[in-house]
Amino acid sequence: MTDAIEYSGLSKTYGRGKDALTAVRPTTLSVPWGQVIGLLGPNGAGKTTIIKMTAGLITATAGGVRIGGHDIRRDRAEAVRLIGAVLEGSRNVYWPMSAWENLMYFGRLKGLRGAEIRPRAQWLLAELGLWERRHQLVGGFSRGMQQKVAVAAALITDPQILLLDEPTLGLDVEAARTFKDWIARLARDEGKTIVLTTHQLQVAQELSDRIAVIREGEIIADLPTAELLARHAENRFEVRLDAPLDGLRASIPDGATVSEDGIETRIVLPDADTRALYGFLDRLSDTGAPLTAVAKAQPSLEEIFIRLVHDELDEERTS
Amino acid sequence: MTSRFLIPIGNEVRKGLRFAWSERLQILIELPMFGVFILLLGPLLGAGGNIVSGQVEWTLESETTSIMLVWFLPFVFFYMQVVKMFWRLLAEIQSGTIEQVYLSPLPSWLVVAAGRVVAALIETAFVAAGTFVIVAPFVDVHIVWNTAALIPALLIMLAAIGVSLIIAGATLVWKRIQLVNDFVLTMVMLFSASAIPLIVVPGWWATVGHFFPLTDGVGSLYRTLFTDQSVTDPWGQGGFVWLMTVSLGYLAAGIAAFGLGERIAKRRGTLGRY
Ligand SMILES: Nc1ncnc2c1ncn2[C@@H]1O[C@H](COP(=O)(O)OP(=O)(O)OP(=O)(O)O)[C@@H](O)[C@H]1O
Ligand SMILES: [Mg+2]
Repeated sequence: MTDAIEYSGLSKTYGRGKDALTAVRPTTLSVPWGQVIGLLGPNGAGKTTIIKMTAGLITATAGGVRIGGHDIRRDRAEAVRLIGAVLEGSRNVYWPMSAWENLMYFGRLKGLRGAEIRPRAQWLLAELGLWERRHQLVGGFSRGMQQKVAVAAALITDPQILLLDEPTLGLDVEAARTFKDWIARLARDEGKTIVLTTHQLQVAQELSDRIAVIREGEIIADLPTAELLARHAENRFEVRLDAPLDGLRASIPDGATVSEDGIETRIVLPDADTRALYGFLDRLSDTGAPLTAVAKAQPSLEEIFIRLVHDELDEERTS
Repeated sequence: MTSRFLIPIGNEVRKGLRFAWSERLQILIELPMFGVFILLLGPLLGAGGNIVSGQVEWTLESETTSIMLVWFLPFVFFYMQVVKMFWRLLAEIQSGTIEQVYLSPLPSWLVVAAGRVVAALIETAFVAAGTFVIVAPFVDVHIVWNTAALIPALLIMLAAIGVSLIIAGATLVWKRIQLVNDFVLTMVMLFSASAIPLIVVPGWWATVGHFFPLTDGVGSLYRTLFTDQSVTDPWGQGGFVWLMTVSLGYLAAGIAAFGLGERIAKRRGTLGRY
């Protein structure tokens, strides 16, 4: 069976000549059905460009995109039927129309009948907690509610593939969490294929089966989430103290990294040497320092991300 | 297959009407102007000599006013289709919804044009009725309906859709082009006037006029409704073939121009950018 999304040598250069800007370097990558892939990268990395090329809204400079085997340019009608998208920015739906009208409109846009759309619209609106306000104009909704309508509109045809470009942007903590849980359920229970971009790495880590890190148009890492975390897991120890470092400085082993915020101090030992750890703990015990935790250091996706993006930069500078 | 096709088209028509309804106030404001326009311009036309000699007689003549309507209503439709489609498209670009609309399986030119044309027809009918109500107390409007007039009417519509798509294609690339838009509108109006026997225009004006979208359609409407020429007689000023050629030519050019504008916007990545 073909994959849900196939990029073959996909690249994008905006403009020509002196002003040319390469936003996406040749990328070949396949997303199997049912996978959630997180596209991570700093501002201007090329994430939105990739998403829009996937939806056929931006023409690739070279290479191509296949959606369920359909070429997005030659076979656009078939390809777009498989896609639902929440694009970057806040205006994916019509503000002068109600939530209900929006859902009916976007359903019919893709050729569904009113009778087919209604039950699904009902379910989606109820699910997202918008049922009571379905007849109010979207323009009067809060940012989070508008975003929910955008997601519902993207899902109204029950597409197998979802493109979500920073879907939690501007949502408050609670709305972002509801949203995240909801996307997780769509992936788990309905087997949706999802391409997700976000700057909230926690969201990416929780939702994605796979993470691709993109920097200056180039994919610099592409791994299953667990593997990415495992590969960067450090076999090192971290010691936390509930006190400033002041008098303890002398007892810290060479090469340890220390971070303090005035209240808590974190000391990461340079290697996985347990003897060094015990020695250090002994010295701490002598000074009576208030120990709060000793653990294996586990970098978050955020730390890995920053390291990936910067390491690449450093390598480039030295080469 | 047909429903896959008809549902999205009906959908756009519905949306077009929805937005037309929300802008209904604007038409109400425009309406008296349309009426006054006819009332004021009517007596002046065909009275050029009198104006020059400074003796305008403010009489409204039934024949002149009726003929003016035949020139004026196609123009109103043209305005509703071309100008309002431009503003609607610009609003979609500004709001970013255009990108979602582009995820429709239908060709985008069809989506964009369908969204406007029925609304434009209804608005034109409304303006026609309104103008009649305003003008009727002053002058007897007398037009003998002839079904054959539907043919030039349809061709006028196709030409107007064509022009609206040309403007729309340019809008996708250059966005705020309302000045061009207004200019086109004025030119179309001025040159189509050569099709009715109210003002005497110089020969070059009439010649150039043939290349404008409404001229021969209006000429043909006039002949069908005001003279006893039949459907089979050569229509318009350059004949029926010319009328067909110009109208379908504008439609084809519109579809091509829209496609071109769309390709440029997609290449530049500026479809939803303002
Ligand atoms: N239409 C355009 N014309 C010219 N350059 C563009 C266009 N769109 C994007 N770019 C440039 O291409 C690069 C990639 O932009 P893109 O929007 O894809 O990044 P992104 O990863 O989505 O960033 P962000 O996290 O800020 O959303 C940037 O340098 C941007 O300035
Ligand atoms: Mg982006």
